[in-house]
Amino acid sequence: MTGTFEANPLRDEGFAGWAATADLDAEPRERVGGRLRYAIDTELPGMAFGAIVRSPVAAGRLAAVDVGAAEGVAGVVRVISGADVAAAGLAGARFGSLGDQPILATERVTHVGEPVAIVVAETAETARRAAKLVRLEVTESTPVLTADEALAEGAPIVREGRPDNVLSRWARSHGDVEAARARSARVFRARFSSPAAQQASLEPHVCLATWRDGRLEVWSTSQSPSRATEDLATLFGLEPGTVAVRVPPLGGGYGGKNQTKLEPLVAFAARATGRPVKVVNDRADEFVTVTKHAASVEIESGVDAAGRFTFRTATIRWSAGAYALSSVAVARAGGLAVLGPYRIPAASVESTMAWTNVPPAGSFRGLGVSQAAWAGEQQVDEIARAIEADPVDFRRANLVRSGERLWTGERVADAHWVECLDAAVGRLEVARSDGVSAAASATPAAVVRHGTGVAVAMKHTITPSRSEAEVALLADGCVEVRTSAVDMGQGVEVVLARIAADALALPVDRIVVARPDTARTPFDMTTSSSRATFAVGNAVEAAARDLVDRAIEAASIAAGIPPDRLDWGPDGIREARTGWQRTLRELAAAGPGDGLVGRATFVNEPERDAETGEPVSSSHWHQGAVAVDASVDVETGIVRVEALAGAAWAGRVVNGPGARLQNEGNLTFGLGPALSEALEFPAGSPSATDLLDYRLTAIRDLPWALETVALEGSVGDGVDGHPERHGLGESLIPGVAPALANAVADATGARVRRLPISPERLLAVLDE
Amino acid sequence: MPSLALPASLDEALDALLADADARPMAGGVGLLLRAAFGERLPERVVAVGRLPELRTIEAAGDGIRVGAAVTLAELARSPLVRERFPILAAAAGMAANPGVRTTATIGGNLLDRPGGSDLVAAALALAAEAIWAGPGAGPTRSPLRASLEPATDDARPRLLVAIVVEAAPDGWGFERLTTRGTSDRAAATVAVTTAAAGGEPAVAAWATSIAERPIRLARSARAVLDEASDEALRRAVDDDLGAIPLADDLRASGAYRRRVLPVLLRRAVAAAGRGR
Repeated sequence: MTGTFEANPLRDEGFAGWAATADLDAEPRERVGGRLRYAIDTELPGMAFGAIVRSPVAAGRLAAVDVGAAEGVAGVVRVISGADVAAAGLAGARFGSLGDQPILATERVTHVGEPVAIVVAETAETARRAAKLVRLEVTESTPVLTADEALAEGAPIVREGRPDNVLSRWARSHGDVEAARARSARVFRARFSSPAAQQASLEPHVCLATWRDGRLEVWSTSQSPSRATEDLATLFGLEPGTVAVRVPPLGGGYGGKNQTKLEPLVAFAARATGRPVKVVNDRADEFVTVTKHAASVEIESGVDAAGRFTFRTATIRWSAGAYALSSVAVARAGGLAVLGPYRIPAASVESTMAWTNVPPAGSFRGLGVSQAAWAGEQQVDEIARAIEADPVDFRRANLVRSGERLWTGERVADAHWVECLDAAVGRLEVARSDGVSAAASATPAAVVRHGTGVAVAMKHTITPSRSEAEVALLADGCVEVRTSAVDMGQGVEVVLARIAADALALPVDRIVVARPDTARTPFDMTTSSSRATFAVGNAVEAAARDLVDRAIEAASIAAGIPPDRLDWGPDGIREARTGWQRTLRELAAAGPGDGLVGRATFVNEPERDAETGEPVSSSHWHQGAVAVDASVDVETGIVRVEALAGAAWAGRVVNGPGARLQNEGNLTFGLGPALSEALEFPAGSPSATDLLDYRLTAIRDLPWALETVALEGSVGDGVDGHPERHGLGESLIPGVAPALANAVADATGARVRRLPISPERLLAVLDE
Repeated sequence: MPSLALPASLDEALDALLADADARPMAGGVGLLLRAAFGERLPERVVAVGRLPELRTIEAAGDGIRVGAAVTLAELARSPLVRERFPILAAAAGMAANPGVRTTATIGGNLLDRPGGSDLVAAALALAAEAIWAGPGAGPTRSPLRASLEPATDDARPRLLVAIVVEAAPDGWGFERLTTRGTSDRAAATVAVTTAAAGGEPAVAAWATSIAERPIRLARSARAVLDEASDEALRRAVDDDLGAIPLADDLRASGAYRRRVLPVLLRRAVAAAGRGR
């Protein structure tokens, strides 16, 4: 490791770094300038366009799909229904994390928007028009639309073979809860809930597929191209190596593109028509393709007379929708996080994921932790107020420190929540001082109340998970980094280039980062779970070192100089004693046939507890804290976020400006579900199908002042003297909504227990 | 896609509208684009009136003002004349939609296309604005804007809004636009109030939009505010004004919430008018 980083753990990364990284700004500049080419811009000769015909009802028997009228439309190439899938011998073929998704529905439909047919036509317009002519005969049955409905006695069954509608159940307990309850000075119980939402990336799901000589080539908006490749190979019975999934930069993902969704249907349509086929979801399609898990949380906590937790328990119920997507992971992630990073001697959590007849819920930035922290961190606040403790002091007194045990009983080696909390509170002071209060408001001052709230968040990362990297010396002396990590605006290309440049002691403008193409970029589990900087970064760093070793070995053989006398540097390989030297360009030319390539695999195997032998739940924790000032107009219920601050543990920042943007993105993203975003399914159909109605937050919902900090460790930390690089994709998000609710409660005494904190809901609580 | 007529004069525009039963005027095109985006039926022919000079000016008319129908919301909001004499119009135009839409959308389209959801309609009605219409074969006619906003009957002869006119500036005005997320959003409720003190007895005119299909006059409730009625009495007066009109119930707000906050907005608007803004 030849790179440098500053040791000041509270270093505030400013924007001064832009000039130094100008060579790495090409992607952001192209993105902002509208010149970046996305999957939607990909075209192939002879390409046809698909439009998906979807179920209009939440549950029912699919008696018939009449494609006659649609096939008669001029310009329609073919209309494909479940019957065609069956005729191709794929009636039983399933994909997805639990192998539960068919290519097209046959016999039954299980949610509004479920694909039942696809119209392939010469133009997208024709396909869409013809899709409206496909007639479905559906015998409706009673749907279950919420987890409570699904888990009730005698509920209709969503998935055949699962009469209890339970998709997964995650439970963990530690210590003697009953004994702890008995010795508690105070016990608190509450129920909190959050609705579904939509990831609402500006770019919708897009897929283009073509078959050439038995090989399947796909351009997709997938966050997980390696997984999509495996899914497609399994589904179509293809040899590994005959499927390529290519991912141009995404226009946002937020977890919504984590799972294989469009790819199997589009690949099937391409095979059935013998044409390249492209499908672009329109905005209404997005709302029935993937959503966030609606959840309810019952939480109970006890404290002793000194204000320390004696126990905490939680029961979480999630609505998975009709297909699994990331539901098993969400139930676990929320279960692990709901009680928070506190010292809790006795605890138990049961987290139950229910099948429901609504569009499938998938990963949503924060992966289940937001729904959990909405409950856990509000209750912490209620407890603090009830025992007349300052909410910050109460947290500080109960938060775990490094080496202490989490509620699960596992030790956490690297705990920084107290630092995060203190830094967030400090940042809020800064935000206040440079903030402009909402002086423009005509609201009479007498009806405006002000309050402050905080919340902390803990989020796991996928453990174990695998990332592979190749770092190749190119003929021109530049170095190509090959991974299957997806850039969706979070800046992973910049991060990987910097890590490679540091490891190779090369200027970053000599690094090229290849975009995912699973025919040539190596395996990566997924670009999600805030893992790319950490896991892919580690793989790239190790692959870069491997390249140095191979280059020195090659030079040693060529020059007959022992390898330990050779050094790698920006000018090539050199023997200091004699001045012998080979430039990188010369090395590339003289290297083996496939060039000099360093390779490495990184797996974050969970450490095992020294005493119990149990593996830890997460190889590290994403740690963050949020602090917010809010004002409430008590006559209208309108909440104004005045100042918002966050501090996240980064370990070691790779790219300062990027880290800052991630943190700010966390806060602004978190405000959506906190203030206004919600997707309900009153009769199975989504309450919004476009961005005019869907309540995304707008620029004017943002506070006047936004302050963040990415906290870093010191040289000497970590296993090899360097703190780990942690991702910052999600660390602050789960804290935003509960911090805001806590600020509203501070301002008004009213506690909103269901998201979002809409004017209407708050006014209803104020009226109570 | 509709075909496009580009008339060079007001007369040509009227001829084009007369010539085709399915022709509709278009100025900024915002309403047309929205219809296209949502897959709604479009007219066979659109007549572009946005550049006709008669429709493009803002001018003083005695103590009042005349605003051409193809003046954009942005132009209205930044006009020094409007800001000085009729700041309520500038406020309403300046808060509507977002900067991009305001630059394109015209007051004619904004007033006529979906009056129940227009901020400008509330302000114009509170000012008792009048509409100037051009029709075939006769000179321009003038009628209260209020009447012009009633849904057109099927046998109505084609006509074109040329301008709106307001006779005199009010003594006071208040304008409250409530959104349930950041202000670049359609309003959940808008209340516009003007007051006049002339002749001893104070007069008040108040209109609400974005709460129902049509603009709603808040006559009794505005009076109740002026009379310093109790909260309870004001609520009853609002209920009287709303009568049996079904309130909008959408993702911005429920009908119940709209009913709940109307007295609040009305009190604030009347208070602002009293401060002589």
